[in-house]
Amino acid sequence: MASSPATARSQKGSARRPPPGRSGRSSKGSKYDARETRAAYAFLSPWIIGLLIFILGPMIWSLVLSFTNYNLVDKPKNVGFRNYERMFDDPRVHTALMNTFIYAVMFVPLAIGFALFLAMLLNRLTSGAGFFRTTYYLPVMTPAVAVAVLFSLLLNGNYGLINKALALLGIQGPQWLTDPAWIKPSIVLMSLWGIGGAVVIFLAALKNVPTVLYEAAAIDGASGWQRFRRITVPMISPAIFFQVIVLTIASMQMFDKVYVLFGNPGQKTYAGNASLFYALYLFQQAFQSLKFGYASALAWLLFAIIMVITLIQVKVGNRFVYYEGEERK
Amino acid sequence: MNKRLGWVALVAAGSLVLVACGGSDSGSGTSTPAAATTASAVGSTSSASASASADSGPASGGGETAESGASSSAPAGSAANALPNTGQPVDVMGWTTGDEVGTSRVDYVKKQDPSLDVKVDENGFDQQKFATAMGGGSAPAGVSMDRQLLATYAQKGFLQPLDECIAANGIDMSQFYPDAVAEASWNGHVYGIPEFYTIRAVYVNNRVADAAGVTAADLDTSNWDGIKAAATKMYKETDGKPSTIGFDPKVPEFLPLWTMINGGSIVAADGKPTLNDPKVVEALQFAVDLVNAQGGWANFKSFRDTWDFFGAGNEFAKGKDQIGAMPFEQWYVNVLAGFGDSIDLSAVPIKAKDGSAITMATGSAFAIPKDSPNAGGMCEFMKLVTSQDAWAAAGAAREAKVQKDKSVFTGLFTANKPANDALQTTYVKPSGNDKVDAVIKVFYDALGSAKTVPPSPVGQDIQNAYNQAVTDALGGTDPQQALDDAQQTAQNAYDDAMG
Repeated sequence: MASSPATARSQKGSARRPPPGRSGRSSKGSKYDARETRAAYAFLSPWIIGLLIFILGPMIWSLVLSFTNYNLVDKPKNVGFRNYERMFDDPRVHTALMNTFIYAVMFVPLAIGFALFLAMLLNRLTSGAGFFRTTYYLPVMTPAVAVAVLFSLLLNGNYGLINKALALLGIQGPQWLTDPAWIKPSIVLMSLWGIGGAVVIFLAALKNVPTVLYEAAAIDGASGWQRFRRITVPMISPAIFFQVIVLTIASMQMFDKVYVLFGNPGQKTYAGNASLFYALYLFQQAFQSLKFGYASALAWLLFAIIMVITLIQVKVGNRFVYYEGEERK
Repeated sequence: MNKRLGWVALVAAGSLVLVACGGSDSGSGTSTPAAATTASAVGSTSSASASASADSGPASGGGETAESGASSSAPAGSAANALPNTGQPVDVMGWTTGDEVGTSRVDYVKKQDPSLDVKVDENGFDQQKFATAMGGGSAPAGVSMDRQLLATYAQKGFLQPLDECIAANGIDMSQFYPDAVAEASWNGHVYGIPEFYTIRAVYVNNRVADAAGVTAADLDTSNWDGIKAAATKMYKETDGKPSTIGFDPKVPEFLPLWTMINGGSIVAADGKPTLNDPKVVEALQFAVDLVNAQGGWANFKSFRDTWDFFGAGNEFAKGKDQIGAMPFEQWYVNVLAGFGDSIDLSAVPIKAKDGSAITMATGSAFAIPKDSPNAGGMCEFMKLVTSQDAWAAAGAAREAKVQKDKSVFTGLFTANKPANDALQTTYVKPSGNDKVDAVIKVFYDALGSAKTVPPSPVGQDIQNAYNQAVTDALGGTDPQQALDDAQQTAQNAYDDAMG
């Protein structure tokens, strides 16, 4: 009995369907998945438990403390929203927030630009890339305290190497660590030294950009800038976006370098209000003034600010970030 | 297979959780008994009477402690009443033995009372470390800190009043400089047993002063115009940058001293901040003018940051001569004396504006935290380590070192007055270097006119506030405005603390 092409297609199609027995296996398969899921959760449980105990728990406790007057020794006393109200009247909070914002606004674009520039240079290297990659990453491994001490010498206004180098070019360098106008640029400079992490991430992203795109663009006569603007930036935009968020959060939490240089009571380097960063002020309130309730409220304000900034970045970033394989809406 | 996988995962997860929690479990494990011990120790310290402590004392070795303590310098009769040593280690946070002056006194304590298991932190006082230990329920047996911080921690409830310890263990508080005791007291209770009594005088680099034609009379701190003139004469710059600072007022940290010289104080007798008092404003204005006459703060500070303060190439060293004169603490003589002929030094005593001798004294003290696991042991340790005999041991150890190094005994400046006097009489002899001997004499003579800043429950906040104000003023802010802001900040902190 000859079969029509339609029937043949139908039979061919049915041949692709799982045999009747497979459906039983399928339901058995979902059981199998459930077991795997349980195993996965079991393997994940140390991290989940750690998250609950060591991160979420303290966060909730910190939120509770932010409504109290607490000095670590006596029991917390409920003060309602007084700590939050007080923040708005505290001029030091405004100063610290402003300093931190200014630093973030200066540092993040510079860090992204500089790291991308270095990554592109590394991407072009045909030999010795490993050496330079390691060299650029080494500062990331250097303790922040050591970096701060090193830069306190390099940035000395009268005898630091940076100003001596500028002097060779006929430029009189500023008083980096004592002139209030140059405090934040000096910390930005110090932080830029440690952008090796961003360089490595950008380099990995650049390596993943298909070369055929550049070849096609070259055939079409695109200039170097056009290739960078139309191919490189869109293709590595997820990495850029990630770095913008991560560096912004890190900038808002800047502490170690300013503490070593300007905030440590044992360190007699005074820079006045210009070096009062938010995390430093929070630390001072907690451990020097022993106002842990107020410090907790300050921490939650910082958390809220970072959340808002990150949400804005995500909303804005979604317009510009291109994820391969994902259709743009 | 899948079941097995699930079990493996569960066992692995369980093990990891146990390992992860191990630290905190063991931590709480140690803290629980400690807390129990603490409770009993504190109970006996704060509520039990001296006689009750004496009853329980001998059973835990307190009797031995007291007996041996009494044999050294404690008044007779104190032995029976000594607070009990719980047997827990006497770990002293924030204290470093450092050199022979510290180690010899610890050796003395151990010899006097072998039952005390003394453990020294060998780190300076760290506020974060102390607060974390207290909050985490693992208070040390004792702590050493700047006396100016004691009232802050006392007001916050971090420290125990030492009245009972002093009475029970027979610590003779009259042996200490009264100002040191006042500085270690708050609200009518003593919270610290003073250790050192650090004072200030003006160090003069004779080479720089002579070259500029400046004499000791020109460096009279009662005459601020004279100081400015002398500073300007000694100040030198190269290519617009300082190469010699004429007179360094050592601000911000010495603002309290300049205020004292001006007849004022940054803290009122009741502990309230008085940072915008006219006397403080005048002192700050003087310091700002002095710095501005010598290149301005940015240049001045950057230059000062390059000094090799403890090295052979220090700011007083021949060939460097980076400083003309500056007020500083007496221990620095010991550093400079070690560089022999490279240093040509003299000292000028500090005078108040009214011409009377004055200087500011500071120093550290030992204290007992609220939940100390061995308050009795720490009390005995404090008594022994600050005793005249302990200081005599330290003096002997320092003298041995001096003999070995062929250096100069420059004094120890302990807060124990009879011990200090005895050390001066016994060991401070003509060294063969008349100039250094004269400097040492200036400091010893200044002891009689030393004053401390009154204690405040917001000592740290006041310090932060005036550091800020000085820096702002040196950066161009009007001193009155800077100190008004500082006063507001410190007053808010005071109101909170006293709340």
